[in-house]
Amino acid sequence: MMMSQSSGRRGVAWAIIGGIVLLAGVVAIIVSAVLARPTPTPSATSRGTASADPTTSAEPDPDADGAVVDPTAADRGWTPEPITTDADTYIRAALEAASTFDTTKSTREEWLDYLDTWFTPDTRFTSEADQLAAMTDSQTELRQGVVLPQDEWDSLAGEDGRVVAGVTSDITDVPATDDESGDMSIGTADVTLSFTRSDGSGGETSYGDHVRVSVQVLCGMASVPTPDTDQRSGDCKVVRYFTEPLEP
Amino acid sequence: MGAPVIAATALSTRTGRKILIGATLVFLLGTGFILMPLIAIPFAISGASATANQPVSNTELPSVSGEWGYPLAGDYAKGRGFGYHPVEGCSYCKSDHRGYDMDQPCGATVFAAGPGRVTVAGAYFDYGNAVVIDHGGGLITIYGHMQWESLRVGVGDEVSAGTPLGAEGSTGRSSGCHLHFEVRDSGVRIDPEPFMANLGLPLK
Repeated sequence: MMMSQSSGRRGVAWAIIGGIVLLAGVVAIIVSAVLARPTPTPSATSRGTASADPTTSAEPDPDADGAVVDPTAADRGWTPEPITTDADTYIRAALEAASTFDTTKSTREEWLDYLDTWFTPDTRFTSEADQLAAMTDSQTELRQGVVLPQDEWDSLAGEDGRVVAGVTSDITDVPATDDESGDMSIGTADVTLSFTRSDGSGGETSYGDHVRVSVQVLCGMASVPTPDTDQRSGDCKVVRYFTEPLEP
Repeated sequence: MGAPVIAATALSTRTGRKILIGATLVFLLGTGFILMPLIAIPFAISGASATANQPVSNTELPSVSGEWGYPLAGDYAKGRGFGYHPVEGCSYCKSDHRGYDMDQPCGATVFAAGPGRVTVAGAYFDYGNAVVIDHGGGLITIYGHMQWESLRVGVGDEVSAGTPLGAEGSTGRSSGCHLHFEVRDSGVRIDPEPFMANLGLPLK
């Protein structure tokens, strides 16, 4: 009888010990899992970088009457093409258009297709075929040697980025060579590019770049307007963007 | 009414008490066994996902010379160097590169190059997720484009050569994983190559 009681107590004691070990194991697993979680580090704290850009979309350049070819362009983050015969006004808008976009509102190809509508054939060539070929070459040059490359676009798009370009200097305007009409000119100016992108913590960070760029425009009766718009022959159009600034 | 009476009756006998204690223990052990996965698995998943963005484990430490060392451990490929390096095919891109690009696989650990205090840890202009270290005497170093949520230091931390800062990434103005290593002396960007070479740490 004494043996039976002693054996029973031992059994209960072992059962209690087993239970405690099991509970300790559960607690140890929970504690180790909690400790394995990394301590959050501070982020986005530097020098007011996590601020929203006040210029969140491209705005039409204030022209004399403000007429633009496609008023909806600004809604897509693009610079609207002004309807004007004033070379200076048009050059300013054209230089800004080549680096004003919003990767959340359009693809790079959609933006470039839109920029194609700014072009007009190069009237320095005599045949219509050569004029169109020159325009196609200029549009290819725009994609391959002027605007932000695809990989940089993709990088920006990965962080919901956008860019607004603004001309910050006077336009240096020179006549185009071999242009008998005198309606063609090359404008060069300093352009500030305001980049805005997400900062990884729900905010935005902005920064600026400065470039000097050139564009050749035609403001004369030979210009071909964008079809089905208020633009007319004689209004300014783009002939070519250059891969480097052309100074006089 | 029946259950308390039965329980009281059972507790009044030795055998009854043993049976109740045994049953209670079996119940507790069984409950613990069944509930353990419900508690452990969520914590394990949480821990695993939270550590997913941590730098790739780097058993190798960067070479040091005195108080300074390389910002990456082991071999690396050289990217754009300091100075005039125009972006191919982009007249709207800056032609001036302000630092020295070092390429290792995405997630490689980035280390502090020298002793100092962290003044920036997070989004920093076009550097993306970056760390800036003030080494005193007007000298600062910048480590750009690290992965979001990978930083291991915060503003105000004191660091030394070899302190892990974060994981190599492609945040900010970057089109592929690399470390943008930049050195400024009294606010002026200087070429990291001669700077590091003078410290006995020549770059490629």
